Amino acid sequence: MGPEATIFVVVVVYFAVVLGIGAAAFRRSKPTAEDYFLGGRVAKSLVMFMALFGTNITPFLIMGISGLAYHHGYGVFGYTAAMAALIIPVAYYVIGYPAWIASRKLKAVTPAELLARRLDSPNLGRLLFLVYFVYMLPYLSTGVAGVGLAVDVFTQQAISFEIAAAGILVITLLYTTTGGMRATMWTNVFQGLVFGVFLYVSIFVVAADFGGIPAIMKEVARRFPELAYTKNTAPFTPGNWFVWGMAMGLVVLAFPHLLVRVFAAKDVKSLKNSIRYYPIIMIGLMLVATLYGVWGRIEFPDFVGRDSDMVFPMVIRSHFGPMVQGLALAGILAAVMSTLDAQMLTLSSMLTRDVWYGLSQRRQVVLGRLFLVVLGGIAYYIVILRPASIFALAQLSFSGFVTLTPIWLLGLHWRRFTAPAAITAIIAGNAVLVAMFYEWLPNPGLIPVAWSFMASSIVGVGVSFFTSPPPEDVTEPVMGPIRRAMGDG
Amino acid sequence: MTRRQHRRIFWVLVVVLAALHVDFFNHGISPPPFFGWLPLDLAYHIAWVIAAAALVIYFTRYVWRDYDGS
Repeated sequence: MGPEATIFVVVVVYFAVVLGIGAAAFRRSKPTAEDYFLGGRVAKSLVMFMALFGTNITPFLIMGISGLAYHHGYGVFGYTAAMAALIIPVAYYVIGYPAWIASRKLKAVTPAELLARRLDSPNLGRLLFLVYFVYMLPYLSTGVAGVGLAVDVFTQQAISFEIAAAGILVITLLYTTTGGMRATMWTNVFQGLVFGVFLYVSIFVVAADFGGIPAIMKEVARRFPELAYTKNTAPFTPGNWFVWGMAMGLVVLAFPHLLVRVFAAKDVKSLKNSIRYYPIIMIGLMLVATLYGVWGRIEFPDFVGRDSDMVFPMVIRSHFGPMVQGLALAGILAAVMSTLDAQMLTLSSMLTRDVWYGLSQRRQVVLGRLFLVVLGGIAYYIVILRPASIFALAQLSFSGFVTLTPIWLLGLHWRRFTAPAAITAIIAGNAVLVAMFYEWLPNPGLIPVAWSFMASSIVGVGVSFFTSPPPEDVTEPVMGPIRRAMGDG
Repeated sequence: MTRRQHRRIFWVLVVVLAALHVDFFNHGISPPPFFGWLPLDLAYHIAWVIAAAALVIYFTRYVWRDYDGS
């Protein structure tokens, strides 16, 4: 059997296992919206952890971070990963935990539904769906583009970028539309294990081929001394360093597909356990991705610009046989599918719960499935355009999501916060973000997300003082338990 | 210690770690690596992450309550 055929067989076997897991989950599911979108709210610690882990591992991590490290060196680890080890758990405590309580009190299935009910404003739910939809598309496209690049490298163009992208979308749609959240969480356990184990083991194999970790580090220092230290110049200025670190931590729960997984937790212990060891394992993977990028420079020193996104699959191809290459490709597919499924499912649930609601539970599920097919089509169209590098696309998307963070903080911790304030804050934050990206506004020094975050916060607080808060009978059933949970009541 | 005291300690440590994350004093310089091969600022951030992970374990044990809102 030739190398391409071996890779193909490994990937097909992998897909068969994933679809089998999806089918098993489908047999266990009930025809209710809560079961389809939240897996019946019974996720325990391990499933929660793997669901978060699998959902959070993306081509941005594997190929985007390694691609950036290829150009900027080890400093990328501190810039884009380290802060998340602390801020993600803190965000779980100050946003995830109260949101979990509120979702149960309000019987909310989606993030948009939760805030719309908390602030008694259906229009806020519709606006949130729109914003989530707009910023999710570039993020979706990074995943599918990552698969296209990986398949392109591993099969040496035997399977084209377009066919690979279409393939990953179809497979994901098949098991997501049938099994719902239960299927995505079960497959995440499997996919997270495949990917995590592969990455941790493979980096040691690559290092061993160079004579060990000290030897390869010394080789990098000798040939590319500029990669061994962090420069003082953009993007590593102190202000940007801090802001991007915060953004990388805050964005995790600003993602609707991750917040909705928090809603699926069975109890507080499951939530806490899922986050307890998450930083060290997750950030370890970011370190591995950084090392792949820097070390890959030794063997492939000529990548320019976004071509460095290919460094990870190129290194794998040069150090492993076809069987392991097939596993690596499966690992990338695992990473993409476990994120894509969650993103698609969450957006479809918001459509049926927050925009086009009032349907029977069975019709909600049918409409959600139809929407997934349409969403897949739009994502495919964006992917074949390939407008920028994986890191650049993800940065745009992440900035948009982080701009929503003040709404969550205010909505979950401040009784005085109002629906008009939330709506104007979302509009103001996004207006500043767009104006900064297109340089319509002068930038006093920090990256755009810092200013959009500030604009959203200031407008959110300011407008609340000039508008009437929701009545006490709307506020208290949610804010009372949250206040007690946070130790203030 | 009470949970409130643990909570205060936790937030102080969060601020301290966040400040230490911005290690501008390591930027733009290339000192000799640890053990002859480990770059200083990479070692610094690995140590920082370990400290952050320890703080997370502390706060999930002593700060975060098991209260489910009921």
